[in-house]
Parts: sequence; C-alpha cells; structure tokens
Amino acid sequence: MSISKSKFRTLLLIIAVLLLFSTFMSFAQSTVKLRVVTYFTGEDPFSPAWKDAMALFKQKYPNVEIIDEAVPTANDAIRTKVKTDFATDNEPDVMFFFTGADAIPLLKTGKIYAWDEEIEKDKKWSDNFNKASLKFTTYKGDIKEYDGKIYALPTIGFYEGLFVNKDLFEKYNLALPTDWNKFTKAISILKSRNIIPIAGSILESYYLIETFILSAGGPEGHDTPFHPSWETGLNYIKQVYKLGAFPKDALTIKDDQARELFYTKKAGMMVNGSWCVGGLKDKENTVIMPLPVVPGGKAHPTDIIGGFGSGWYVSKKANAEKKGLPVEFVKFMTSPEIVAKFVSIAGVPAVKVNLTGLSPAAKSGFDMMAKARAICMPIDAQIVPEAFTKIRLGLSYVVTEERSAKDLLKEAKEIHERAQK
Amino acid sequence: MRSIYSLLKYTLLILWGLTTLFPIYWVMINSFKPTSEILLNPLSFPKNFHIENYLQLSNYGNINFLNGFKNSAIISLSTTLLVLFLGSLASYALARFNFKRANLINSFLVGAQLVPAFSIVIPALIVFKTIHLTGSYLSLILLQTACFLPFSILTITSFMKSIPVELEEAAYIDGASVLQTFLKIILPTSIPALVTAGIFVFLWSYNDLFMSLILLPLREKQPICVLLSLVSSAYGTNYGAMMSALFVTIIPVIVIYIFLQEYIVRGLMSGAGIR
Amino acid sequence: MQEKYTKKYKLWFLIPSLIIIGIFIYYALFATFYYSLFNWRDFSKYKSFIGIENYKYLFKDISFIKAIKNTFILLLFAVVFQIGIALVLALIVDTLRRGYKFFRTIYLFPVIISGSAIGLLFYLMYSYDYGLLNSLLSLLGKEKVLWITPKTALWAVLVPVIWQYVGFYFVIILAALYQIPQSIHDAAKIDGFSEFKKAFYISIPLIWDVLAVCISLVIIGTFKVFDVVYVITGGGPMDASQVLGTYLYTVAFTGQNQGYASAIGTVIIFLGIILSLIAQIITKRERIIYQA
Repeated sequence: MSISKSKFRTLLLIIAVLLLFSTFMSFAQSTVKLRVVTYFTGEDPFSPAWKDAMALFKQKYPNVEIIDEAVPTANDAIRTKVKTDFATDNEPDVMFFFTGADAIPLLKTGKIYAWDEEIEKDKKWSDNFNKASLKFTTYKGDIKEYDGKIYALPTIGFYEGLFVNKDLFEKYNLALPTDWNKFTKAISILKSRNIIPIAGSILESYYLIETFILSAGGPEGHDTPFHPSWETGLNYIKQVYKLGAFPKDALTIKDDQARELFYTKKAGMMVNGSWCVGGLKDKENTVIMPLPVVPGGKAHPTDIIGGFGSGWYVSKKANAEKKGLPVEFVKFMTSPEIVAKFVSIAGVPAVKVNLTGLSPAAKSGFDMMAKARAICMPIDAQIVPEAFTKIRLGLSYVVTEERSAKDLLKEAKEIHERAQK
Repeated sequence: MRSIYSLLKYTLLILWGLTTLFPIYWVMINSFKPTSEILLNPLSFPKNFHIENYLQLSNYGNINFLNGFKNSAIISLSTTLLVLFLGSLASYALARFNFKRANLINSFLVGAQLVPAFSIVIPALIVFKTIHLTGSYLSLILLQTACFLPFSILTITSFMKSIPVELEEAAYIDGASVLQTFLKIILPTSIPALVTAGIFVFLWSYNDLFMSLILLPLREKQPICVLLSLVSSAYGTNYGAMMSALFVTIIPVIVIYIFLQEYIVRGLMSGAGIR
Repeated sequence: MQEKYTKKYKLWFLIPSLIIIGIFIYYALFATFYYSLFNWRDFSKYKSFIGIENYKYLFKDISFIKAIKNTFILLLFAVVFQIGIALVLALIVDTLRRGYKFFRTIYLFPVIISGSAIGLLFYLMYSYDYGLLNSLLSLLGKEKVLWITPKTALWAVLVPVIWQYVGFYFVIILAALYQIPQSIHDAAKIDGFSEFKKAFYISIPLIWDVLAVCISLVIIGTFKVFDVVYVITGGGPMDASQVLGTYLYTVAFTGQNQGYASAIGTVIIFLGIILSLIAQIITKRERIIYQA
C-alpha cells in the first residue's frame, strides 16, 4: 500500500519537471533569426541545392541564424502551414511558395512585400531577371494594393509535356508522336506489344487535364475559365482512355507509381513535368515534347503548359523589423550563381544563368520551352482549388462514361463562382 | 480431448498473430533491399543486406533522427503522464456519479472526440499566441492532452465502475479522506486500466502527425513521425528509404512495450491481488 | 452528510480535465458550428456569412452522400468484427495459463504502426503492377487481378481498417476480463460450467460496461477513419471508398474550403453523438455489484 504514495509523488515530480523543462526550452533566446519556409526537404530534388545555398549564405552573413521550416508538398502540407501561419499573424519572414491562385489569400492579408521599388533601385541585381518571367508573379486583380505589382520573385520555372522513351519507339519502328495520328498509332502499337502506352494516373491527373485542354483550346481557351474547349479536352482524355492507353489501375494508381512505370521502360510515354527529369534513370533516350494537338484543336504545336509556379516572398513586417535582412536573403537566393545550383537539378531559370552539361533529356525540355509560342500557367492556378479538385476527382467518372464532361464542368463552374462571392 | 481443444485454441491465436506480425516482418526485410528490388520482389528475403537505406537517412538535409526521438520522448511521455494524472481523477469522480449526470458528461466526452483535427488547430494556435506559448513543447503537450483525455476518461471510468463500492466505504469508515482513498485504494486497483489507457495515449501521441506539424514548425523540435513523413514527400518513390525510416520509428516503441510488459505484470500482482 | 461532502469534493477531481477539454476542444467544436455558416476558404482571416448555404449544398453533394453510406457500412462491420474478433481472442487468451503476454504484445503491433504506414503497406499489396498480392498470383501462375475497382474499393480498405484496431479492443477487453475475481472463476468451475458457457453467461455480462464503451469507441473511431483509406485509394475510384474522414480532409485541405468542411464536421459530430447515445441506451445495464 505504501508503494502507491511514493509512486504517486514521483509521478507528480516527473510531470512537474517535464512541464517546467519544456516551458524553459521555449523561452531560450538566440541571435538574429530568419524564419524561412520552403518545400525543399526530404525527397524533394532541390533539397541538396538548398542545403548548399544556405551554407553559402551563412558564410557571407555569419551572425544570421536561418530557421529552416521546410515542409513537404505532399498532401498539401505546405499550403496548410503557410495559410495557417498567415491566419494567426505568425507569417514566416521569407518563403518560397506557390504563386497564382495560392497567392491571392495571402495578398488579401496585405502582409506581403512588393518588389517593384527594390527592382528599380538595384538594377545590377534586377537586370539578371528575364522580364517575361516576372510577369508570372505580377498580380492583376481586385486587390488594389497589389494591382500591377510584383509580389514574389520567380527563380525556377517548370514545363509540362509529353515524355517519350525514344528507345522503345525505335524498337517498334514508331515515329515520334509529333501529331495526333502518330500519337494514336503509337498507342495502338505499344499496346499490342504489351507496353503501357501512357503511364498516367486518372486520380492524380493534374497534368493530363491541363495539357489536353491547352491542346484543344489553345492559350485563349485554356486561360478562360470553363471555356467550351475544356469539355473537348476532357473528352479527348476519355477517348485516349478508351483506347486502352493508360495502365489498368489508372483510376487508383498514384502519380509516382505511374512515373516508375515510365522510368523502368514499362510504358512508352507519360504526360508530366520538368521535375521528373531529375528522377529519369535513362537521360539519354528520353525526349520531351509538347502534347500533339487534338483534331480540331486550337493550339499551336509548340504551345505548352509552364511557367513559374513558385516564387520568393517576403513579409512586410519582418523586413521592417529585421532591417531589410529578408530582402537581402532573397536577393542572394536569386543571384545567378545560386539559381544555377537549382537549375542544374531541374527546372528552367528565371534568371540569366549559364547552362552547360545538360543531359539530352533536360536539353530537349529546355528547347521545347525556348521554342514555345505560348507558355500557359496551369489551370489549377486559375480557378479555386475546390473547383479544380472537383474536376480532377471527377475525371474518373468522365473516362468511364458515368458522367458527362459537360455536367462535371458545370458543377465545377458553380463551385468556382460560389467562391467568388 | 483436452489437448485437441488446447491445440485448436492456440492455432487460432497463432493464426491471428501471424497476420499482425507480418507487416513488421515485411517492413524489416524490405528495409534492407534497394528500392528496385522491393518493386520487383516485394515478398522475398533480401539478396544482400543492403544497408544503404539506413545510411541514407542521415543524409536528409536538416533531418536529425536522434533529435526526433528525443522530442518524441519528451512530448509523448509528458502527454501520457498528464493524461493519466488528470484522467484518473476525473474517471473516479465520473464512475461514482448518478446515471443522468454521468450521461451528460459522457456525451460531452464523445462529442469532444468527434471534432475534426483541422477545426481544433486554429483556435488552439490563437490560444497559444495569446499566452505566448507558440512553438513550444508545452503547446503540443497541452493540445494532445486535451485530445486524448476523453478516450482515457471513458475507458478508465468503465473500469473503475466495477470496483466494489464496499472497498471505499470501508476506507471511509476507517477515517480516510477522499484523496487518501483515491491514492491508496482506487489508484492501485486501477493500474491495469491506467496502463492500458497509457499505452494507447503514448502511441497516439507518438504517431500524431498533423498537430505536431502545425504546432511545432521548428525542425529541431519535431518528433520522429514528422521527420518520417518528410522522407516520403511528393517526389518520392524511394520505398527503400521509407521502409528503413518506418522500421527505425517502430523499433523503440516495440522495445519499450516489451519492457513495459514486466511492469504490467507487477502492477497486476500488486493491484487487487488477482491471479 | 458524509455523502454530500464527498460528492462535492469529487467534482473538483473532474474540473481540471473539463477545463482543458473545454478550452481546446469545446471552443473548437463551437467554432466548427460557427465556421460552417460562412464562406471560409484558404484558412484566410476573411469570411463572409452565408447562413445555411453550406448545408444546402451537402444534400446535393453525391460525394458526401456516398461518404455517409460507406461510413455506415464500415461502422457496421467494425462493430461486429473489431469487437467480435477481439472478444473471441480475449476470451480464448483468458483461459490460457501461458502465453497471454506474448499474444498481447504481438496483437498490438498494427496499432503501434501509424495509420499511414498501414495504408502504405496495403497500397503496395494491392498495387496492380508491383503489388504483393499480384506477385503471389504470378508465382502461382495465375492472372494478375485489379484489386481496386469501383466495386471492390470499399471492401479493399475495410480489411485494413478493421484489422488494425482489433488488437486495441483485445487489450481493453482482456484487461477487463482480468478484473473478474478468481473466486468467480472458481465458483463456475465448481458448478461445472464449460468454458463456453462460462464465457457467455458469466464473463461477458461482467464486462458489459467495458464492452459498451468499446462500442462507443468504435463509433467514434470509424467516423474519424482517415489515414489508412486515404493512402490506399484517396477515397476513389469515383468515391467508391470515400468515407466521412477522407472527404472532410479532401474538402478542407485539397479543396481549401474550410467553411464547407466545417459543415461536414458538424454533421460528423452530430451523427456521432446521436449514434453514441443510441448505443448507450441500448446497452444500459444494471450495475453489477460484487459481494466480496
């Protein structure tokens, strides 16, 4: 019986100590801190470049402590983190985050630092930027404070396109799919040889949706929310699905498993983006090209989905409090030497960088981007996330003919309009 | 006859046991295979003991697994102790209430468990901001305590209900105060319930990803499960690394649990003298 | 006099817990009701009042309706099988003299491993091209099967969801069985009860309180199921395996519509409490009082 009393006392003691300890830990102070949020962590291909960049910054500014709050993009973890941070007045000092539709709620808070002044002031630094790339991070809309202003700085851009295992095409005497006929021919021949024609996921069908809609509607159709060409685009995905082009479990397979099929040459083609270049096992025999134009489609054969989907943001408050340090940090990160590190892994630079030693695959991607007549930001940057999710998740119903593309789009449109109120 | 019956019993139990053991075995053997081999032969024993997966874990940017374990220990142990402490007190009170009042509190507790995680997080952040505790271990500990108390109270109460009232009454007659009765009689008898609830609270706290991610943005404070999730981010099909990370996360828990078994047995013995 | 004093004193035992739960969870619970009446997206500070619009939309939402249907099916199977299997296993283990420690340890393994890990395990098992199950089939010379189809998806996720927590209820029930005094077991033996009869007529009634709580926990747990299902199918294909937990997540985090998600959350809370109350009323029993 006496056991319990002393045990109880020790328990109380342990609890008290642990609680005190944890409170103490949270009050410990340090030097000049810079809170940075990015998604360069874990398996993200850019993580090594980020690590190097931070180390170089530390060398230059030894009294600054970079607090790395990197969060992965998986499961929208970073979106949630950034948004909740802003909502609770706890926004990071610097962040590398998505632009476009994701930026709007942040701009509404008025906490974002606008770059136009700094760009004018420091020409030596700002002249390095490709002016076209800055357009992607310029806001045009109802929020007066930021209308026409540059709210973030792009560094690495991306493209989406059709990846082709050249060696498989050569093996079966197929011409590269530069037009729709060659494309459908390739699908039927590959299928007959038990090669999955297109490694794609209908569940995680972001890239399919965007590229097909662009192909059908051209830049104008693609960039106008719920343009009739959207229906055409979705119906062509359906047609391709019915040709048996996708893996048997396309309705549930995840994108990374689909990619694996392409990397291991079990599939002939895939519709994906520049971030895959880093993971390619065979960089010699992979070619990247625009998705062929669908019959009657309005796109030019060189039009692609791409752009600068992420950029460096700075918090107005932090910049004022920390005497311009956040801005200095971003200028460092957007300097040609640093951007080159990132670009050597994947992506397209917004800054003038020396590109040497590229693999054939990466080179074909760059060429595709350089030759493009029009580069359009993906649809999920143009309509509210809820509407895009509706389309993406509803795609399975469309390809299996359970619902019509028309109805699906009508519903998504309603969602988009409801959110505008 | 008897032995066939026994054999049957053991067979059933072992069959179920195989299903529960299999995942651990599977994770373990796959953690020693490179990703390509995992995809080709998910079932087979590894060809060579490929320890690269484990070595790779130390290469991940700013991810320090040892630190993660330390954090998990601090957070989960504190939460468990706090929950058991507050929960056992509350359960005792609840176990002796009349039906109507107990039902009300019961619904209160059930309702509390159904609130979705994302709803809890924002108000919590606001509360912590007000009392200047953002980003601290304590904030996560308090929030987790709030989340796991309802379950613990519900469970421990149901156990305490079956403790004979006569035992307490005997203590009162002997002149013991309520607190003394609680400490010397109720608590020892409830040890099986406390240990059971404690194990689950610890496990849930250990595996909680969402709240940890939002309340503890600083890498150096993040518990092990958060670090594990970073290993399988959007661009990752590195199943090899995922397996080894998983295995590394599970092992301490299994080891602790096996040691705890001894404590459970002793607890049961010194309790109400059963079996 | 003594009675009243002790009752009041005991109330104080309850208060600290109620305070903590009240602050963090009840504040959030009322916040959930509150937010469901607004058009709140992207976790923004700015919300516009739209009254019951979100709820009106719920009725038309096919995904939501499917989610409710699936959750109820899951619930039914969970109550029957999770508690059922756990009960049977616990009763058997209770009759053993040796080995109970071993079984108690290994049955808990699936609970120790987080839901997402279990999800990953089954995802890799069901996968068409690289999956465990299909590899086995190929080894046996059979055709590969597409395990996750609109017809089979719910069942495919039902298995791991139910299987994972059997050990949980097993441990709880076993602990409850352990509280039954040896004297009762001895008495039953003397009276010539077979193990079956003893289990059915004596053990189960004696642990009824605990079983009732288990049912409550199963209800709560099923309404919150998320990780396992999400990792295996994401709720698809075509909402075939969509449950309330996964749908809530999709709406709140992928669709970034927290107002609508709060409405879903409110429905979850509401349904959960009602079902729990019903379960409580059905399982109400006279409190068993031991004679020492």
